[in-house]
Amino acid sequence: MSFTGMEFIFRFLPIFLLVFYIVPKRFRETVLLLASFIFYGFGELTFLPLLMAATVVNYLMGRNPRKKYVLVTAIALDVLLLVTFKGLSIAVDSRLLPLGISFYLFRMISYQADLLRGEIREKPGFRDVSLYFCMFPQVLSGPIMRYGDGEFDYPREYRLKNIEDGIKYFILGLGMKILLADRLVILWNDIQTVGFASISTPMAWLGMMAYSLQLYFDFWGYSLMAAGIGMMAGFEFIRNFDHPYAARSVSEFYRRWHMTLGSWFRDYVYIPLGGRRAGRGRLVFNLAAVWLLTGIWHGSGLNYIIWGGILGSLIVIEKLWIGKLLQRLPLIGNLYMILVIPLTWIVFAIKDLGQLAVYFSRLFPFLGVASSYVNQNDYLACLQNYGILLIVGILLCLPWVYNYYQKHKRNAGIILSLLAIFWSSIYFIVSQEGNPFVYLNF
Amino acid sequence: MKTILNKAPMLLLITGSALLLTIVAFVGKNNIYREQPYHYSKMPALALIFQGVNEDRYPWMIFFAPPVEETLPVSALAADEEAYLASLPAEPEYDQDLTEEKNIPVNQASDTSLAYSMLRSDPAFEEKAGAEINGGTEAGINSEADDGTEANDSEPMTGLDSVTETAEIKPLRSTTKEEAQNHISVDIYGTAGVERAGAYEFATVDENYFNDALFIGDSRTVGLRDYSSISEHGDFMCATALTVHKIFDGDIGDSGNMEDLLQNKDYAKIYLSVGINELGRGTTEDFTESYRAVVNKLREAEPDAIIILQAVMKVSKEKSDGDPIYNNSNIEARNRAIATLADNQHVFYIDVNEVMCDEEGNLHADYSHDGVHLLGSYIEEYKQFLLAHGTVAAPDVSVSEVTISISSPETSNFTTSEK
Repeated sequence: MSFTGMEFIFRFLPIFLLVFYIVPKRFRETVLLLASFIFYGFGELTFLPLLMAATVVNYLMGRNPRKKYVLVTAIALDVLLLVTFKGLSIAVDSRLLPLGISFYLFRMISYQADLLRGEIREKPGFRDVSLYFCMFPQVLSGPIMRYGDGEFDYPREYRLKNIEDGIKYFILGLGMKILLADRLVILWNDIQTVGFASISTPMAWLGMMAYSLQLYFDFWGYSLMAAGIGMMAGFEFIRNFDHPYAARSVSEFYRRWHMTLGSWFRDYVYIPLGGRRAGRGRLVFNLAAVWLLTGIWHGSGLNYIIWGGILGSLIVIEKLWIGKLLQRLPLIGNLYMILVIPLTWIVFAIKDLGQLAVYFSRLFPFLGVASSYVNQNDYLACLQNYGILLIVGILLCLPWVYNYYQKHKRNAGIILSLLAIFWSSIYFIVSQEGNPFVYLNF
Repeated sequence: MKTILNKAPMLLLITGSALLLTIVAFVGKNNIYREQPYHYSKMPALALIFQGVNEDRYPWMIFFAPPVEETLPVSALAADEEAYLASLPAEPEYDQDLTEEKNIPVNQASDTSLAYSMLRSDPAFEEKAGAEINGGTEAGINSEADDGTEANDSEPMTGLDSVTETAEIKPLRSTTKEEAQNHISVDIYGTAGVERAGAYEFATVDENYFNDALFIGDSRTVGLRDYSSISEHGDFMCATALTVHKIFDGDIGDSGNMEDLLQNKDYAKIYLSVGINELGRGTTEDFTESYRAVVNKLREAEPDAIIILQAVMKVSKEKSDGDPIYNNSNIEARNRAIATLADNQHVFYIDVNEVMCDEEGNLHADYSHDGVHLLGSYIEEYKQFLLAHGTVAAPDVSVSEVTISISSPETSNFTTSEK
C-alpha cells in the first residue's frame, strides 16, 4: 500500500485517524502500532514476521544499556541482516529484498548506537521502541527519524492544528509526487524509449533537468507526505529536505538532501571513524568510506559506486581547497550546483555504463558523434508538452516560493489551491490505475 | 463546528468534499456510472467519478440522465458488448461444410492454424477451399501458394477489371464467448491471407518513392516520422494510441483531420499501421470489420492510391510473456486478419516483423527499451524494410509497364526502382 493509492488515502488513513482519535489517549500509540503492522502486511505479508522479529530482538538486546557488548552485537546483527538481504536480492532474486528493510534497520542501528552513547536517558518501553521501528508513516522509506525526535518519553499532545498542518503537508507532497514527479518521469521514459543515441543535445539537457526534478519531487513529496501523516498522529514535523538546489557546494547539497540519511551516515559512520579531526589523510579515507557506502546503499549497479565516488571526490576537493571560496562567491557556487548535481544524477540514473557514455556524448556532442538518426527538433515537442511542468518544478526549487507558502498557509487562497491540488492528484491517480481501458497506449 | 472551521478549514474541506463525492458516486452508480466496472474491494466509490470525468462524463449529468448510450461512446460500447457477447457461440464454430467433410471434431481443432493446415493438406479440401477462397479467379491463393515466385507469371493484376477482383477470405471459425470475455484475439483466418499476400513480389525503391505517400498509424508510425528521413518525403497522420476506430473519427492528434486531408490532397500510396491499441477491445471479427471499413473508405477517397497494410509489429518476449493482452499471439491473430484484406492489386500487406523479430517470432530485445517501441537507432531498419517493399503495380499504371517492372525491378526504367 503506497501513500498515493486510493486505498490508502480514502480508506486506510481516514479509518486509522478515526479510530486513533476515538480511543482514549493511552491506547492511541497501540492503535498506531497495530495500524503499522496492518500497513506493512498489506505491502508485503511475507516479510512482516522478519520486521516483528527484528523489532523484538533489538528491543530485548537494548534493555540494559550498560551491557555495551550486547549493544555492539545488536548493531553487528542488524548490519549482517542488511548485508545478507541486500546480497540475496542482488545475487538471487530482487524479490528477496524485504520492503523498507534498509530504513527500519537503519533506525534499529541508530537506536542501539544512541543507547551506546547514552543519548537515550529513560528506559524505553517495548511499545515505544516498536513504534519507533515500525510506525507506518516511516517504515517503508523513512524519514530515518532518531529515537529522541519521537519524544516518546513525553506525554503526546494532540492538537487540531497539527492535524490541519499534517493534512496540508500531505497534500503538498501528494501534489509534488503525482502532478510533478509522475508527469516528468514520462519525459524521462520517452527518452529511454527513443534511445539515448537518437536524442538531440538540447533534448539531452532537458532530459537531465526532468530527471533531476523528478527525483527531487518524488522523494521530497514522499517525505512531506510521511511527515504530514506523522503530524496527524501527534508527532513533530520531520524535515528531510531543505531546498538542496539552493546549496552552493556538494557538501552543502547533501546536508540539505535526504537530510535524515545524510545525518545518519555522519553520526554513525563518519564521526565514529574520526570525522575531520584526525588529519587530512584520514579525512579523505573517512569521506571515501561514507560515500562508497552511500553509493552501495542506493543500489547494486556499478554506476551507484561511481556516483558515490564522484560525490565523495567533489566533497574532498571542497573540504580541502575550494569550499570557502564557493561560499564567498554565491553565484559561482549556485551555478556549480545547478550544473554538477544534475550531471551526477545522470550517473545515478543510467545503470548501463555504455549507455551512460552515450548520454554524456549527447550532452556534450564534442565527446562523440551521434551514431544514428537524430531528430534535431525533438526538444521543441518536449517543451510544448512538459514546459509548464519544468517551469513549476524549477520555481518550487527556489526557497522563497516554499517560504511564501509557509507564511500564508492559513490564507483562504492557499487552502483552496491545496484543495484543487488534492483533487487533481486524485484524478490522475484514478485515471492511471483505476480504469482498465486506459492503462496503456502505444 | 465554527471552531473547527476556524482552526482546521482544510480538514473540513477535504472530509466534506470527499463525503459529498462519495454520495454522488453512490447515487450515480446505478445511473450515469452504471457501465463502469466497480467493485468495492478494488477501490473507493468516489473513484467512479474520476473515471467518469476521464471519459467525459461529469457528475452533474446525473440530473440530465437517461440518454446514456447517445452521450457516452465508451459506455455504449460496453453496453453493446454484453449483447454482443451473448450472441457469440459457446464453442468454436467452424464452417459446417469443412468440419463435416473432414470429420474433425470441433474441440480437437482448437488451434485454428493447426486445424487449417490439417485441412489444407488434404487435396479434396484444397480444391474446395480454392474454389471458395478464390471465388472463380485464377489469381488467388491456389496458383500463388503452389509457388509464390511465380506470382508474376499469373494473370495480370490490373484490378480495374471487376471480374478479376480477388475474393474475400472467409473466417474458419468464430470467436467464442469465453475467448471474447478473456480478451483473447482469436486467429480466425489461419494463414490464408498471409500466404496470398506473401506471394506478391515487392520491388526495391528509393526514398523518392515516398514523395506521394501518406503514413497513417499509431506511436510506431510516430517513431518512423520522428526518427527517419521519410518525413522529408511523405506525409504523416499519426498519433500515440491511434486505433482503427479513430482514424475517421475527429482529429488524429496534432496531425489534423483525415477527411479534410484526403479531400485536399491526392496520394499514390497510403500506408496503414494500426492494431496494437485495439488489442483487448472487441474480437478479431470486430477489428477486421472496422479495419475493412477504413480500407474501403481510403479506397473511396483515393481511388488511384494503393494501400499498404502493415502488420502490427510484435513485442519483445519479456513483454509478450508478461502481458495477457499485448502479446504476440494476439498480435499474430490480428495480423493474419489484416492480411486477408490484401488483394495484391490495390491493397498490399507487408510484415515488418520479418526483419525485427528473432527466430521465436518475438521483437529483438535489443531493439527496444520498453519491448513495444523501436529504439530510434533501429528505425533505420524499418525504413530499409519499407524501401525493400515498394510496389509499382499502381492501378493508374498500364498493364505492360506493371509486368515489366514486377518481373525485373532492377532493369526497369522506373527511377524509383534503384537500390
